[in-house]
Amino acid sequence: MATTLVVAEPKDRLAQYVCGLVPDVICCTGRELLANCGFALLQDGTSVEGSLTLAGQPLPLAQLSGVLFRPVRRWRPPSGLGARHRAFVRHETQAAWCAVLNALTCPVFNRMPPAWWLDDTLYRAHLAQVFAQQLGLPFSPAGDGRGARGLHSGVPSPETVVSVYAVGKHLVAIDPTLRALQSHLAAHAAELAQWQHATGIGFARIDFAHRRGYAVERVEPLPAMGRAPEALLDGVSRRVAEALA
Amino acid sequence: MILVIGNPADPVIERVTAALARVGASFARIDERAARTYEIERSVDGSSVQWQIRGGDCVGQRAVGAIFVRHEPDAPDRATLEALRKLRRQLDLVLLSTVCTVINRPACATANYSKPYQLRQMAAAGFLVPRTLVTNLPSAALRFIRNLGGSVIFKGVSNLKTVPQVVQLQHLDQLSWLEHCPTQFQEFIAGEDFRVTVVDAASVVTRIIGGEPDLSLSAEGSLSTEVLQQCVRFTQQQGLVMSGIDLRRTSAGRAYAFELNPYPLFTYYEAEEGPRITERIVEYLVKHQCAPSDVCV
Repeated sequence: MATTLVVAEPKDRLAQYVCGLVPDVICCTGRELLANCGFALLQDGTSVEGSLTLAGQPLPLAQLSGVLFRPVRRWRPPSGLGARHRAFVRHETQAAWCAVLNALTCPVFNRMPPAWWLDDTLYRAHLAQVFAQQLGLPFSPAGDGRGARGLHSGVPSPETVVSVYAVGKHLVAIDPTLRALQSHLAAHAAELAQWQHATGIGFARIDFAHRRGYAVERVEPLPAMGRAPEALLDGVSRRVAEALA
Repeated sequence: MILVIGNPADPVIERVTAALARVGASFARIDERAARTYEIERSVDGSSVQWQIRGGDCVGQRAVGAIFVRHEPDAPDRATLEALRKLRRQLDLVLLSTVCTVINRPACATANYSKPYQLRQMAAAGFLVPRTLVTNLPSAALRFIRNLGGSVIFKGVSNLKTVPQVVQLQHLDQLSWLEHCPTQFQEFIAGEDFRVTVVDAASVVTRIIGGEPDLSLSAEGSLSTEVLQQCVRFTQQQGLVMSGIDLRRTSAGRAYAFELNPYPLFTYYEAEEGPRITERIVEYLVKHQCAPSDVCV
């Protein structure tokens, strides 16, 4: 039977909604996945096979219908290992899970790439830059005119930030004034799909700085939805559940 | 003007700057050992961004056309390491968005953090790759070793340096350690080792004997044109200008790929008196300088 794996904290509202919508689901936290889940990933260049063992139950990778991966805290191995071994085990374990999540043939929201696992501070800026390039939109990184961290920057200018959620090919927003923006994105569905395929990010909140037009400001692959309006949460979780189940 | 970022005592940085001086190219350095010395200022004018770097050789006035970077990974003490990390974050932001030619942009150079992740990308690009198992389950490792008749090596999963070892009988008793740390097991491929260093559309092949580069004999012709083209294509697909790719050629002439290093210590793979790789890099930097620039040093 096909199973959806949800990796999130118990208080994650989006994960709660998704778990309520998919028929057969296994939930665990990011910490539980990295610390307690047995796994084997076998790849030979043409095929991928393997299994996960969660709470003693083996689950062949081929049986996974989808994965929602929304870890909150970064995992650290037990302190008893000593600082050096602890750092090594953490690095190796994360590199292994990076490979596993990226090798799965089922939909995964999201296949976090090495830069994310490495805590690369520029990962999100790079993601947004590539998104803007691919969709032919101006790029205005968070910080332009509003004080980039650690850098001297230009004069602040008034602008608003609006957000659209991309879930696979679907675009979700509750603000009706964003129709023009949604239409632009919908007209570039092929480019959006290419960007999602290249980056592994099938689900993201895309923030746009709105002055005279829209400029991509930030792409958030792990959007916090704790305070999201009910209608937005409902819309996003339905699309996520449809894609993963 | 070419900007060289890194530790001037790093053999790669040393050789690149010496070659730039030899061809009469003007260049400035950012010495990451003196990270506290530098200030980076970013100004925004409408939609255009300008970066000015000051400190050391840099006075924030000269337009940069191309950048060579090989970050210094370490520092002698915690405070210096913090300063180095801060400078590196700022520089990486410049390298992310600048219009200048960069060898190599750090944002494109993270795939080798996870070897099996990168190996999958290499397979998708058409390279032959060895059968690989990543696991923290002793039973899965044992099954893999048995299925391959014991002809298996094991090594780390990440980019941290580990020495690949052939699985021996005594290692089977240690498989329970996997529960504490996953490991990569790989089909042992017998053959000759090669390092292919790609610079733009060209490649330099170096034969490796007993883990050491053999610079006495030319290795050109040892690998097929198709494989070398794959190396160039894959490097470009990754958004890189240069790379070091490890390959092993079997007696049947099949070349298996193992990994791509985006910041190779290429001086190790060229003769000091005829530094072919360095020369190609310098030629590329000089030829691909952009103008107008958004970085001034």
